[in-house]
Amino acid sequence: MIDRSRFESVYRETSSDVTRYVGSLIGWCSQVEDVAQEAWLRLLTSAPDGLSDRQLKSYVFTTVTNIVRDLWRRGAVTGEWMPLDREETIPTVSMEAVAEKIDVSKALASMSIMQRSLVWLAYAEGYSHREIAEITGIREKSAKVLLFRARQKFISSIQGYSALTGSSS
Amino acid sequence: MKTMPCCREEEVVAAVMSGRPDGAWPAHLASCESCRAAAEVTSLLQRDRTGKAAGVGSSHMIWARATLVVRARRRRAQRLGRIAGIVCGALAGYLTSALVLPAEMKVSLDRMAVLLSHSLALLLPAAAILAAVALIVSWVSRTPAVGEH
Repeated sequence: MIDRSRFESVYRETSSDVTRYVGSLIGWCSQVEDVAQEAWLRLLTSAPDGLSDRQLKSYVFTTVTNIVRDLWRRGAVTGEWMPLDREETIPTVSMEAVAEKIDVSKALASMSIMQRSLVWLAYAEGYSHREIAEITGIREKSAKVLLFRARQKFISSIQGYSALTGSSS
Repeated sequence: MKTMPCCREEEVVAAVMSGRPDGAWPAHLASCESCRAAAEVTSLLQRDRTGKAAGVGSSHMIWARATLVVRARRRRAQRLGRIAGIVCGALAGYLTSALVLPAEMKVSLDRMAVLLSHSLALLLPAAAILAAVALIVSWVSRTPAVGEH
């Protein structure tokens, strides 16, 4: 079990990321907090010693993926969609005007749980293909191809994608 | 759009996430549809991600829960160890008596072989009982999964 001060430091740095990942997988329902807490609990009770902070974060992401997969298989991922307060957004490379009109949650909801996981880990968290493969329990080559397909699905799920590409070019 | 992912996609995503997609990237993005799509999705998800306020409660609560889980797990392991110790002790006692007593009583080798075969016949059911006890204890001591409260 990692020591308390280190846990608090890792928790402070990454708990929001973990919660957002859970939300992207199962939607912003009442189970998000339960799943995230369970993942942190398993980190404390089951993680091997000697992991770096980055590895600890990956461990929690892997655990979340496994928990959600189990819930999904049992048909237990249910619940109401909850509106989430949005803070002030930061400017990005492009598409600010278009992004306002896009509901990312709905686009993610139209995808399979694995596709959501791949897209979120790659493009929201910035994990490499190798790390994504470790977290999701698939091979690196498969991760690359599945991620590519998941991204295509994500893009096609966003309504008005043609408008998106038109405005960004 | 390309039918295969570009090998530079990870670098493009990292550049967009750092907020500095400058240098050689604009030229590559202009010629690579796949990386352009990756950059747009990254940009979109980064925007969505930073706009979401997310919390999961206090770290103290999770630490307290973990402490309880670890303590309970330790207690169950001790209980299991005690049960296993009792069963193993009983088995050892039985085997010792089966081997030592005939020698003291100076019975024939044939008699000893019979006793040994009897003890082996009893050993297997005893091992099965031990395994069953271990299974039951481990099932009882498992941590309930999410949604099983």
